Order: sequence, then C-alpha cells, then structure tokens
Amino acid sequence: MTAVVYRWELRKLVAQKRTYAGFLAAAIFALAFVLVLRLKHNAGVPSDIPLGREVKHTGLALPLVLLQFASIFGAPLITALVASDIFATEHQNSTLKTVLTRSVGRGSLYAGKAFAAATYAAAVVVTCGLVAFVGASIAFGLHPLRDVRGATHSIAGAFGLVAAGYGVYLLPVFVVCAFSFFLSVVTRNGAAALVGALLYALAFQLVSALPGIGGGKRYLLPNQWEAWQELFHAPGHGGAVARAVWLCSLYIAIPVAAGWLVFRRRDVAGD
Amino acid sequence: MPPVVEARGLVKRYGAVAAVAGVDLTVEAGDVYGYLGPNGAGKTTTLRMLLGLVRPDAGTVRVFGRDPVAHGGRALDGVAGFVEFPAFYPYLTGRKNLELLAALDRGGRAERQRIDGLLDQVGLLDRAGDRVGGYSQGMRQRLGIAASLLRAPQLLILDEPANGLDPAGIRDMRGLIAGLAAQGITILYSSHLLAEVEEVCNRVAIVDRGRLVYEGTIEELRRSFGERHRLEPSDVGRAAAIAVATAGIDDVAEDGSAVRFTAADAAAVEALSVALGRAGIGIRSLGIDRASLEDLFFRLTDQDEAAA
Repeated sequence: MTAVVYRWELRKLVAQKRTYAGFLAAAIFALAFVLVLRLKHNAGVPSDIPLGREVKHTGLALPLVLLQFASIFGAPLITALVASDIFATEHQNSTLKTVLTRSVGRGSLYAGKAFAAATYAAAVVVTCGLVAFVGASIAFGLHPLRDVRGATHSIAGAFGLVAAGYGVYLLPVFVVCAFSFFLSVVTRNGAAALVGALLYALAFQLVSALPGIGGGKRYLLPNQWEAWQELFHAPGHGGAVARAVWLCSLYIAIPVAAGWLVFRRRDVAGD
Repeated sequence: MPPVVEARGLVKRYGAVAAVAGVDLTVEAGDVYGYLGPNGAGKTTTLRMLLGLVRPDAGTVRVFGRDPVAHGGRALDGVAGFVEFPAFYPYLTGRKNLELLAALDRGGRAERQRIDGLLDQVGLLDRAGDRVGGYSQGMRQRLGIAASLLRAPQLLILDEPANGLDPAGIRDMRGLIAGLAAQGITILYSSHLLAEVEEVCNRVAIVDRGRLVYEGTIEELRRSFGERHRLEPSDVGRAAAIAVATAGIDDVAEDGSAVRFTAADAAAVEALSVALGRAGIGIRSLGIDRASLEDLFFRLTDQDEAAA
C-alpha cells in the first residue's frame, strides 16, 4: 500500500504549482552561475573551492562547485519546500480524514509521504546539477576533469564521479528533508515547518563555527555537506563518505521516527 | 451476528470539556439510523471515533465486530462516508480525486470504470474534469456521496449530507438514501434537519451535551411521551369544559381553535365525542396529534437541560 500512496503523492505533487517553484529555483540558481561565469571573463573563478579552478575548463566541474554554494541556504530551502508542506497541506485541506477512512493504514500513508518528499528533494538537487552540467558544457565545453590531486578523469569517468558526488550530497539533503517532514507532521503548518527546517540547518552552521568544537565538527551536518569532496581528494579511503552515510542515516531516522510516534496516535479532529 | 455498529460507554474529553460522555449506540444491519443532536452535542466526535479518526478516552467501538482504532483501515472494510464535510484535494479534478480514493481502496480497473457512473449518479459527470477547488459546497457534498459509494459500502456514515444542497439536491439525496436502504445498505445519518431524519430513518439516537438521551424508533419515542389527541370543535371553550368532565380524558388544553388532550383509551374518546354531540357542539375534526420529531427532540433536550 505504501507504493500506491507514494505514486499518488507524486501525482499530487505534479498537480501543484509550488512543486515547480522548487525546480525553477534550482534551474535558475544553476543557470545564473553559468551566465555569470560565461559573461564576466574576469569573474573570479572560485579557486578556494575544490575543483573551482576547473569550472571554465569543463562542464563537469560546475555541478560540483555549485554544491558548495548551495549547502548553506539554497539546498535546505528548496528541499524543505515540499517536505514542510506534505503533511501540513493535508491538515489545511482537511483531507486526512478522507484518506484515513479508506483502506490505507497510517503507516503506509506516513511512509508513502516520506518517500515522496525525499524523491522531490533528490529530484530538485539532480535538476540543479543537470542544468549546471548542460549549461556549463555548452558554455565551456565538455572535457576531461582534473581533480584536486591533479589526476585527470575521462569524461565518462568524471561523470560517474560527479553522479557519485551528488549521491553523497543527497545524504545531508535528506537530513533537512526529514527534519522538515517531522515539523510538518508536528506543527501541521507548512510555513512553520519550512522556517524551522532552515533554522535547523543554520543552527548547525552556527554550532560548527563555535570555537572549541574541534573533532566534534565531523559529526555535525555542515561537514556532511562536504563529504562528497572526498571522492576527488582521496577516493577509496571512504572515511568522510562512510561517516556521512551512518551519521546522516541517524539524523534522518530520529525525526522520521519521532514524527511517526506523533502521527500514529494523533486524533484527526477538524483535519 | 454482531450489530453493524456497537459503541459502549464512549467518552472523549478535550481538556475539561467532555465532548462525548458515555454514549452507547447500536446500529443493526439494514437500519437507517438517525443520529441527532444540537450543535456541539458530540455527534461528529462520535462519528470520528466510529471511523477510527479519534481515539476514545474510554469505552469501546466495534464496526462489523472490528475495532477501528486498533485495526485502522482494515477495520473499515465495507464502511464508507464522511464526517463534518467531505474534503478533497482542491488542485485535483473531481475524477482524479475519486481515482486516488479508488487506488487507496486497492481498487483496480473495475473500480475506476465505476467512477464515471457514480459521477453521473450524483450529477457531476459534466464537471468531473474540473478542479475541486472550483466546486461549490453542494457539489463537494455530491462528490462526497460518490466517493462513499465507490467503496460499495455495507455501512454508510453520513454527517450532515444535505449541507449546501439546494431543495432539489436534498430531494435527490433523500431518494438516494431510500434507494441505498432498499438495497440493504445500513445507513448512519447524522443531521440537524429533523424533518429529513424523520422521513428517511427507522431508528434514531438523540444526543445532547455529549450524552445519549434517547435511542430507539421514532414511534417508541412518541409513545414514551403519551399520545395526544387534537379536537377542532365548533365551540372551543365549552368543548374543553366537557373534555375535562369526561372520564379518561386528561391534560386538556385549549390551543387556538383546537383542544388537545390525552385519552386513557379509545372508549374515553368515544365518550367525549358522544358528550359533545349531546351538548350540540359540532366536531370539525378529531384525531391523534402526531408530534413531529422536532417536537419530541425539543421535549427530550429540554427535559435533559432541566435535569442538568
């Protein structure tokens, strides 16, 4: 039944205008970078960012450089857009009572919505990357990519690495998505859930910047946004990526489980 | 065979307020069961508990012998309806909303093929491709009925289904309910439109301030208040005096051009009519004064208020 709910959640997303706002924002964000870099010849190449020096050499670099810029605000905002609303809108439209009086259990409904929110978050991030890739490839050409160590990767190999990098980047994206989803369940208010998710992501940035955090930083969310860079620094070691996998899984599981505990016993009165 | 709906000692509190305070309901198969009460009496909360949407603080609910709180959607097999008002996704069309609900009911192609027929039955086929956000309240009510029938229910729970309907829509709704009842579908009909309930329901429950004040047939309710007679004589004053003097006639009251009274038996009524004839008083009409459900409802709820 979860699969049925999931499919219909996706169809519902397709039917809503706000869904496209996220895709549009992601595409504009990516295209803006391409245009600025293309039009302003003296525009500073972001050399302090891993692979930043490569952005004008191959279309394969910009999608990765974008990730660095998106981490603080853009990615949390866009990915939380739907997750924050996916339960709240059921309350707003009073439709929970409609679906819960059919042959669908609360567990299936909850899981289907969680997967749909995650799918949307992933789709938006991938859209951003694809637009950047296509735009940068048109603007700067498609050539092999030289990584941080100076090793050169063929176009196909580099594309695989970029895809893998996006895969790793999706882990913290899902963390924000899960927290936003949790807030959507608990607050029943899309705006509150969206703002709450942004504050959650920003709070991590602030905590991470505190002095004396030291080695604890690696367990905070900001470090997980950068875990993908390991693929271009020291592929095969897997320390940062592996940590991102288990740590983000934990960060995802806690709000999702907490949201479920709230939802499974919630009275649907006036919803 | 267990009752279709069996609720015992249902209690639901919101803070210090008891929305439902120990309600017992028994709806048998084939009943068209009216559930009545003033606004805030706890009707909708009770229905929410029957549908597993709200957890009772105390008491038990069984629908077809299953507990909707414990078993969730599985307990609602064969049950359809809506509480408060039917709600749909405003950005989807009427047809898409029904397709979604059919999918959530594990419906296949057969159910999807029934959708247009149901939309036609409730008079929405020509608007089926429009988004529900543009529907009037009456149209949403109709769509709610179609959504309920999509489940081919054995028990239909309808909460104020006539809300937002125009007179023709109310007439159609009445006809639809009668037709469904004739097919053997059990109907639990919550409404404040007492005339509607009287017309379509064979049994009623009356709830006031969260407590059940009556459950049974409307006829039993009438009998519990005693049968009153209504006499229209040519001379009201003298006729009332004769009625007071007639053995077996009690509670005589003048009411405009009529005299109302209760009679111990048919012989007392016969004796009164003979006495009126001998006194030269003409009888324009004499019959049983059937209290409307509305009269009975107010007598019950007023009694309850006085007792409180």
